Amino acid sequence: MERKTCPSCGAGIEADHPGALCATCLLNEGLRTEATMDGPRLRCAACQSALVEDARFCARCGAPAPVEPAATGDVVRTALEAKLQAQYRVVRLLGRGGMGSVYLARDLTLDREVAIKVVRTDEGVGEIHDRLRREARTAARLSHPNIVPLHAFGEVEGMPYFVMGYVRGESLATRLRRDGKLPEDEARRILADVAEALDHAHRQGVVHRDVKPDNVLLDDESGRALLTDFGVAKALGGRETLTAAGSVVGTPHYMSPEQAAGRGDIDGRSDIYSLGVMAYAMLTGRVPFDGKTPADVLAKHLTQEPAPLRSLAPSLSDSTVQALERCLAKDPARRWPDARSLKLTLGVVEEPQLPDTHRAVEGQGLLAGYFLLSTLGMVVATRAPMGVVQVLAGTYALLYGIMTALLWREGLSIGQSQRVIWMEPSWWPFWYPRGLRRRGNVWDRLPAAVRRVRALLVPILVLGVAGQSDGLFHFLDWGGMPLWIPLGLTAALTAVFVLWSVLVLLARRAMERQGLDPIDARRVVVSVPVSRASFWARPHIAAILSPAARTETARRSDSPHDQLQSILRNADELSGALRPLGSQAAVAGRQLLVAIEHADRAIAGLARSLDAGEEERLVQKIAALGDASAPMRQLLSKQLDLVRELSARLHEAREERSREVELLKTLALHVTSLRARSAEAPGEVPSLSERVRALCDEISGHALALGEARATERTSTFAPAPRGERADS
Amino acid sequence: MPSSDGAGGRFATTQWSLVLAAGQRGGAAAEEALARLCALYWYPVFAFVRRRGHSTDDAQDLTQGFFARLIEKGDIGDADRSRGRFRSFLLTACQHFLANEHDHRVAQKRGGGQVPLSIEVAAAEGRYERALAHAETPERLYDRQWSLTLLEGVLDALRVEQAAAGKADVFDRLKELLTAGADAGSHAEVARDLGMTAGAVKVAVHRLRRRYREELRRRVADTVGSDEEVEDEIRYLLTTLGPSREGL
Repeated sequence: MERKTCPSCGAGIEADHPGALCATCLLNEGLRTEATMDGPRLRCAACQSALVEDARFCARCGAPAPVEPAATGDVVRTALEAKLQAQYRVVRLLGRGGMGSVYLARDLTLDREVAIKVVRTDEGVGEIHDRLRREARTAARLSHPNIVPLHAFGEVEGMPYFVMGYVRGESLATRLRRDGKLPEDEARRILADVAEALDHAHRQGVVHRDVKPDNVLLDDESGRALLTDFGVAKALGGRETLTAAGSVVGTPHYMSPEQAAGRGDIDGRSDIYSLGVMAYAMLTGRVPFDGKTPADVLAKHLTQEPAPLRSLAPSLSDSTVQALERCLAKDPARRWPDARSLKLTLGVVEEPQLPDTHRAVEGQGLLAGYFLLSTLGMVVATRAPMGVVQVLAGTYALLYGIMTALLWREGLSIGQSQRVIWMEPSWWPFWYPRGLRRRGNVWDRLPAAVRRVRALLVPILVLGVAGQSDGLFHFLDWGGMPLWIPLGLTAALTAVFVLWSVLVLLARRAMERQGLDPIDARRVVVSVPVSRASFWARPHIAAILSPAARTETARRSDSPHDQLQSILRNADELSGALRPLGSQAAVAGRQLLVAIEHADRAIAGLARSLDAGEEERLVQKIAALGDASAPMRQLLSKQLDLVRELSARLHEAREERSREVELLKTLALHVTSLRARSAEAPGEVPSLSERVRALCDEISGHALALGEARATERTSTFAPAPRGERADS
Repeated sequence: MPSSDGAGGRFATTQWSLVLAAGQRGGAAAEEALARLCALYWYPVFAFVRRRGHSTDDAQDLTQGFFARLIEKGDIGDADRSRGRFRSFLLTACQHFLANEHDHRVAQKRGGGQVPLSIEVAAAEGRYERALAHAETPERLYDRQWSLTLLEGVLDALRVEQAAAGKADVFDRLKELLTAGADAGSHAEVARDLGMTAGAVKVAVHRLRRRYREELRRRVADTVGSDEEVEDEIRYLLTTLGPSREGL
C-alpha cells in the first residue's frame, strides 16, 4: 500500500484518509478554532498568546493550539539572508509561533550564536514598527544574567526583526507541557531568577507586560531561567489590551486584573501578578483561571479568587504559598511592592527543608577540604610547620568554627551542621561521597564511561590542589623542599590528566553513538552537575541513564513498568543454571505488563462508555414511564441492561487488573530475592527457583487464557450475543 | 476574543438537537434533519455491520433496514439524551437493531416501501476492504469510519463551495496546505505552480483554513447535543484515528 507521510506531524497517511491528507491533522485543525483568527496573525488562535518554537499546543489555553499559517519559511529566511549576510549567517529555523519565526544564526563578526526573531505584523505596520523600535531601544538597555540580551533591531521586507542572545535549552512552556508541573524547589529557583530579571527591568522603568512560560527560557548549560521578549507585548498591544471589538492582545491567562481592565497605568506590580500566575501554573499544573473565551478568563482575573494553592498542591511549603498568594492579590497595593522583595522571599532553595541560612554555607565543605589538602601538601613538601598556606588555613578554620557555631545557634546539632556544610554543592559536577549527595543526584544511574570520567577528576583535583599549593608557594620556601616532590607531583598529574582526556574522548564518542549531539554529549560527560534534576530529567538525556537504583525501586516505585524493570534487571544478573529461568521470568513479566496495559485500555474504554449516574437515571425514567408507551420502555430497559452489563464488565476489568499487578509484584519480589540468594545463600536457591518457575507457568497460562478471552471479547464489545464472527489476530 | 461567532452562538440549533428536541414523534423538520444526518453518516454503520461478520448483501440489507426503521418509525425519540451524541446514539441504536434482527432472524422485507438512502454498495465494499487493514473491533471501526466520513464531508463541501466560485483547481492545490505544518517551503512551491505571489497564497490558505474550521465544527456541532461538546467530540474523534493493532 502506498503510504505518504504527513508533512506536519510525520505520521503515515492511510489510504482511506480523506483527500490524501492526514486525518489527525485535519481534526486537530478543528480544535484550533476556539477563537477566531483576527488580530495579528500567527498568534495562538485561542488566547492570542505568542507561541515560541515548536509550540504545537498552546500552553496558555490548555487546549491544543495552532501552528499558524506556516506561510513564511523560506521567504522570510531568504529575505533575512539577503539583508543580513554581511553580519549573520542564518543556520536554521528554530521555530515558528504566534509572533513570527525565530531563526538560529551565527554572528560572523563576534563568532557567536544568536537568535533572530522576525515579527509578523498585519495592519498599521508603520505605527507598530515605530512602537517596536521604541520598545527595542528600551529593552536594549537591559543587561542582566536572567534577561535574554537584545543585540539589534531592524526591518526586513517590512517585517521587524530582533537579534537576540541564543539560549540553548527549552522554554518553560515546553517544560510544563512535558512534565505538567515542577517540583517546588525547582519552581522557586525559576521564579527567583525571573523575579530578579523583573527587578532589574523595573528599576530601569521597563515593564514586561507579558510574563508567561513561553517567555521564560531555561538554559541547559547554566540551569538559569532567562526572561525574553521585553516590551514586545506593549508594542503589539498598545495601551489597550481589550479593544472595543473585544480583541485581546497578549495572554489572558497570565494577565493582571489591571491589564484585563484595560488600564493604561500599568506598572511593575502587574508583572508580579503575572509571575504569580506562572508560579501557580508551575506548581499545580494548571492556570488559576480558565474559560471558554479570553473574555471569560479576563473577567475571572478581575472578579474571582483562584482555587487555593494548598488545595491543589497540599505539600507546598508555607513560605511558597504565602509568597504566591501575595503575588495574586487583585489590588496592586496588596502585592509585593517590588520584584526584589519577592526574590528575597523565594530565595534559591534547592533543598526545601533547609532554611536559607543553610544554603549560605553551601560548598564550604569543599573549601575546607581545599585548605586541608593544601596545608597537608605544604607540610609534606616542606616539613615546615608555618607558611602562607597555613596562615590562610588557620584563618579559614576560624571562619569554619564561626559557621558551625552559627548553625548551632540555628538549632542544628554539631553533626547536622557538619552535614549541611559538607553537603554536595548544587554546581558540583563530579563524584561526591554517597552520604552527602543532594537529592536528585543521578550518580548511580550515569553510564559507566561517564562515571569513570567524572570520578577520575576527583584524584586529579586532589593532586592538583596539593601540587598547586606547592607550586604557588614554593618560592617562599624553596630551600626546604626536596626536588622530587614537585617533579613527582607534576608527572603524576600529567599522566592522570592525559588518561582523563582519553577517557573523556571515549565517553563523548560513546554518548554520541547513543544519539546525543556533541554539545549534549559534552554536558553529559563532564559539565552538567550530577544533581541538576532539570537537566537529567529531559527525555533524551534520561534515556541514557540506567533505571533508578535498585534500593529506590524496591522502596518506592510500584508502577507495573518499574516492576518489570526490576524483573528484567535482576533476571539479567542471574547466571549459570539460573539463566534460563531468568529469561523465563523476563518473558512472563513482559506478558503480564502487556496484559495490564490491555486491562488499562479496556478500563478506559469502558469508563468512557459509561456516564456516571446513568443507571439511576434510566431506572428513574423507566419508573416514570409507568405502563404507558411500551416500546420506549422496552428500549430503555434494554439500555439499562446494557449499562449494567458494562458496569459489571468494568468492575471485572478492574479486579483483573489488580490481580495481574499483584502477580507482577510477586514475581518481581521472587526474582529479586533469587538474585540476592544466588550470591549469598545458595542453599535456598532450589526452593526459590521452584517458586519462580511455578509463578512463570501460572502467568503464561493466564496470558494464554487472556489472549483467547480477548479474541472473543473483541467481537462482542457491546452485543449481548456474539455470533460467529472471526476472532482478530 | 475578537468576536463571538465561530463556535459561539452561531449555530442556535444543531440538527441533532433539533431531532432530540422533537422527541419521539418528531415534526417534519426533525425527520428531515434526521434523514440528512443518516444520509451523511450511513457508511460507518455499514462498516460496523459488515465488521460484525455479515456478508456484503446482508450488511447492505441490514443497514438499509436500520435506517429505514430509524427514520420511518421514529424510534429515535427513545434515545437517551444523556448520551447526547448522534454518533453514540446511532451506534447503540444499530446494536439494538442488529440484536433484534438476530432474535427474529426472519427474512422480512426490510425497509418498507420507501428506500430512504441510496447505498453504493460496490464503492462502500471497496472502501470497507481497505478499512479492514485495521484489524479492529466493530465499534472502533465504526468510530474511525465516522471520523473519516466527517472529514470527507467537510472537504467535499469546501470543494463544492470553491468550485462554485470557479476555484476548484486552486482548492485542489491549496488543500494540501491545510495540514502543512512547519514545511513552509511548500507555500512558495504552490505559489509558483498557481502563478500567485507567496503572499496571496498565504492569505488564501489562511482563509481556507478558517473556512475549513468553520465547516468542520459546524458539522461536528450538528451531531452533538450542544455546542459546548464540539471540542470534546473532536478530541474523541482524534482518539479513534490512533493505532489500533493490539497484540500480546
